[in-house]
Amino acid sequence: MEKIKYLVVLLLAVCMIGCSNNHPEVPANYVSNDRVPNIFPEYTEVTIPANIAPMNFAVREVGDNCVARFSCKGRELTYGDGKNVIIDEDEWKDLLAEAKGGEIKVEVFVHEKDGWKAYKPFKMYVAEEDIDPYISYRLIKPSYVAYEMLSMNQRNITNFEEKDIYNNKLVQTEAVGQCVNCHSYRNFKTDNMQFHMRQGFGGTMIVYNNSIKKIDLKTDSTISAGVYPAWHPTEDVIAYSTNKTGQSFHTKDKAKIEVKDTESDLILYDVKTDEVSNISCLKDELEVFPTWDADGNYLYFCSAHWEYLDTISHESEIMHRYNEVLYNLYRKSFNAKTHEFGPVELVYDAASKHRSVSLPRVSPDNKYMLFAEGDFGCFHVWHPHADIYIMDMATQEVRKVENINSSESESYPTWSSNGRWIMFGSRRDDGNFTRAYIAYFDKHGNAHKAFELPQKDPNFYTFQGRSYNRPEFMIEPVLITPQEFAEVAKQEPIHATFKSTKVSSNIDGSTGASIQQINK
Amino acid sequence: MKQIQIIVTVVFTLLAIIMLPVMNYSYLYAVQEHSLFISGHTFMMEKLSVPGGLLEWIGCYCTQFFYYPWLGSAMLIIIWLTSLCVTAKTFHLNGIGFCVGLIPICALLCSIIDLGYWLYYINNLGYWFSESIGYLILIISVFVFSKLVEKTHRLQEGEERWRDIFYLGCSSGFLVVWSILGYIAFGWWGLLGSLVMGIKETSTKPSPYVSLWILPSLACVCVVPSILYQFYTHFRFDHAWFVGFPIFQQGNFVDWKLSVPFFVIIAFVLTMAIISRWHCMENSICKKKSARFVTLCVFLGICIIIPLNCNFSDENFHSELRLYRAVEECRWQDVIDEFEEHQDSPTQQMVMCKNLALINLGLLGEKMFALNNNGVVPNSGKLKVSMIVTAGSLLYYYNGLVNYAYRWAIENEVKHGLSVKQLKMLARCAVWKDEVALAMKYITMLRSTTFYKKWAKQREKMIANISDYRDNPEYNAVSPLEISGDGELDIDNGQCMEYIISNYAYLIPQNLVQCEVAVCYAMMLKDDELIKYQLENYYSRHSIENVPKHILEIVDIYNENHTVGYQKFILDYQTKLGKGHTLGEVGKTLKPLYRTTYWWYYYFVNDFATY
Repeated sequence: MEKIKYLVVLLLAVCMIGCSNNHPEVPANYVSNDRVPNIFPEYTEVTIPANIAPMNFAVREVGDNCVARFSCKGRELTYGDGKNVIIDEDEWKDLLAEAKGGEIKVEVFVHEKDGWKAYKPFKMYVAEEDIDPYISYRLIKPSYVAYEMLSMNQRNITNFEEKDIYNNKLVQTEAVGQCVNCHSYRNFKTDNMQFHMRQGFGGTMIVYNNSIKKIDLKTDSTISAGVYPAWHPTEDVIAYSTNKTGQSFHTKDKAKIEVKDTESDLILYDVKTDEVSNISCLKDELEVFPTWDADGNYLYFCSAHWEYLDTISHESEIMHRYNEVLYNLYRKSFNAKTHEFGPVELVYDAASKHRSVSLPRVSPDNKYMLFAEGDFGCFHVWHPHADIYIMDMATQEVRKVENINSSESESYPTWSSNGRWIMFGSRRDDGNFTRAYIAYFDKHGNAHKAFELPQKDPNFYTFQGRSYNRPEFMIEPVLITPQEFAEVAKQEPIHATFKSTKVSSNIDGSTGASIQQINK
Repeated sequence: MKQIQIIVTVVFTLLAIIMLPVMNYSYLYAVQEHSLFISGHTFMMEKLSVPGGLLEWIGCYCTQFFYYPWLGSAMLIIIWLTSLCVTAKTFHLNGIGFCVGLIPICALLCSIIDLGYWLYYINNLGYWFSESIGYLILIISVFVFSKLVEKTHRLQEGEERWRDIFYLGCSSGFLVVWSILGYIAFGWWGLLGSLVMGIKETSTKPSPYVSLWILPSLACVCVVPSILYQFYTHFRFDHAWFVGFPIFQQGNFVDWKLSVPFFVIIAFVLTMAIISRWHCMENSICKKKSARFVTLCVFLGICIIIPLNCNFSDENFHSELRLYRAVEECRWQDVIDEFEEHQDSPTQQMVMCKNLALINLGLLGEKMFALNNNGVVPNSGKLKVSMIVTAGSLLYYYNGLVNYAYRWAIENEVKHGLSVKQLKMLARCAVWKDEVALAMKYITMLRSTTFYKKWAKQREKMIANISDYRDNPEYNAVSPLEISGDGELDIDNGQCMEYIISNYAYLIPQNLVQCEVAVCYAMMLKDDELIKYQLENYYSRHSIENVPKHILEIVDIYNENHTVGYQKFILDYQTKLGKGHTLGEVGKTLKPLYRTTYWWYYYFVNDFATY
């Protein structure tokens, strides 16, 4: 009996040690340093939502130990373990609740050879508006052609829970690989969503009102299956680009790779009838990246006017003239009742400035449009010259978004459901791996300093070797399991049928300029 | 009887020493370069994403010790000898029966030395240890389970029923828990363990407490993977029962021969589980001393002959590994020395390494064709070896095509997992391209390994101090060959040798080194227009004195007034052709006389193997 008692006490002690939080003492004596500490990820002076996971960071200063003190309205919390600052999730939640609409002061102390050093404090501003609790992305090694392991993952950003939505290993065989890409949701919800699978067990997985079907969107009348998708916000239709895409490789340039289309069009897929029809299929236009405005009254897209000089090898020609491909921003009105599109309107003439636009996204309040803009081409994830730009939809004024761009590639911007948060892919960490960055977008149309998606281990991004492609906000998690997707993936796809429609076009074939410009 | 155990142990240890560090030293060093162990949470979690991930993680940890091939070999031998002892205990292999225990460990030895070029295509980066550790764990688990079950057998005879039930509960619990945890941690080895436990303890004479362990065992083997599949996303349902089983597949081709050692182990443990209830193999095998001796000799003979036969002893394969290491360490003279030893029929990788060394020694124009410049396809059976996988990054890097070196390091990482070799190459490329943050990422990862900390620190120093970098022989090797300007957009179609050759042959050379290389590679392509263009470039920068031998030889071909040597070559050539010999036969006949000249290459080598 005595032994049992000892055992229970021992167990309790172990539990208490395990459950207790390590709150190190702030050093009593230190020398002040007049600069902010070098921390990774860079979280100084960022604006964060009140429901974000702990902003753990590593202190990258010379020294063997650190202490970080977080203070807000008289409440103080200290953390520090070696060179890492790992915050307790529950305490962080309480702190954020208190700091909502205000700020958290962070003081960092580092123990160096000759004692403790206190760095200049910095702040984390806590916004009033919450962020959507889930995001999803494709995790992919920044490879070029090979794709052994690809997964689409969802992350609860109020904590550190990450799950696979789908993983190509569930169906892939050694002989037949499978590429998965382009996850897309209707209105930030997951009951209607889609993603593509290519090569092995190819097809598009459509989740329509929570049931899954696999579609082959390639028809004899279209140049490929659907590629870049855009769910209509109210109608059961998805706009896609269809693309013939190729890749070639820089022998010396830092960008390393160019991904370019030799042909591309736009199609509309009716989810109910499995019919596909043309939206735009002009001979000398490379249309791509469709996106709807918040009401679904307009379909925005990018298009490059492109005339081949050599009729024999388009692939070879575009490889040599790749930096002449310049994408403008266009739109077409959409009649939700008849599912008919209006004429093409030029929205933003980037080509005239020798610039090129891709990946447009309209804000949920229809007031702004974000897109990536670079020197040429459309695959800006590999272009260090690409940045995030914003258009004021009322004035058509375009400006580079301040506070969120870097000298490396920024691409794939997207809005949260309340329009107060922007997320995009950035390669600023190392120029090679795309990471998800989030920035607050205030009521005045200004973006605040962006922060990297927090991870439990602050050194995670150093040791992790996959890119976060196509980050998307979701207000709820995907509940269909990867195994359920895999079961459908193994089935034969339903073949979409082509429905011929009259396609209106007003693009000037010689210049690419639209006859009909939007009234400014 | 102890003597037999000692003889068996000593013979096997000697055999393993000969087969591993003695015969496969360079291979074992390459093994750890094709593996990777990074201490830390992220690496571990990545490995644990599949059943058996823990085993791979442990395997990766141990494999890094092949950095010192003797050390890694010693660790493996200890694991095998421990396995031998536990096997003997578990299956009651006493006396001469002890020899039988050699079967699985010899199979494991074979599974390591028979890989050959699969080294580049294997996806389990801890393979070289994980299977041996898997077997050891399997056999230990069976042993522990036997001990638990044994207690229930003993107690049947007594009156203490509650104890019987307690041990029965323990045994059942062990079986279920092992099936779950064993599967999670050790994959197929865990399941095999459960099956062996069930078979071994299934009594032919049903007792009141234990009779048919096979039933719960089979139930566990069937049910556990199908349930746990729901928690994993990294494998197909139909693969759930074989997760981690070594299958050597390239496209549609499966090299089952390499899986044979594991089939042997499966057959062995299942067979032993069935027959081990006779308790003592010794009695059932042979009773006479002479018969024992013969049995021992036969067993030992078989256990020596089979590994010797399995060993992938292709000289080119081993030479390539030594060449790659010498290239990486910029030991150019060693590259030439190694090549000269195997220059009768080298592979194209060896030829490319040799040419790289000649460039760096300033001897390309002098010796490129004098040393065999026409390689063969690697001897790899049905496995299609691609140069881009085996040496692509290395060759691209040292030929100044750093972007392509980086690309193929990444592509190979995606296909076959991140290894030390690739990580080092990625770091090299990032340092070269002055992508400091990226370089630091790779360097930090290398600093988290056991044996590459020093290498990583050196690179870190180079980043901090550019003059350190400029003094580095690697910098001096790559620098003159890098193309100037912004470069261009291109595709190599995965053919690195063709790409490197044509890249040089069509180059607009910017310095004397490039001029000489461009002429030589144009000569390799035997494109007269191209050769003349590159000769013009060469002579525009180079004085007419001290022109290398091969360049003089091509000039001799194009000149109207030929040298005596070339006239003699032409005379011999025409004489032999006139006698009705085919071009191939003439080439063979003239080879001993002219093999060191470009003339011989120009006239008789009409194609080169690419892969």
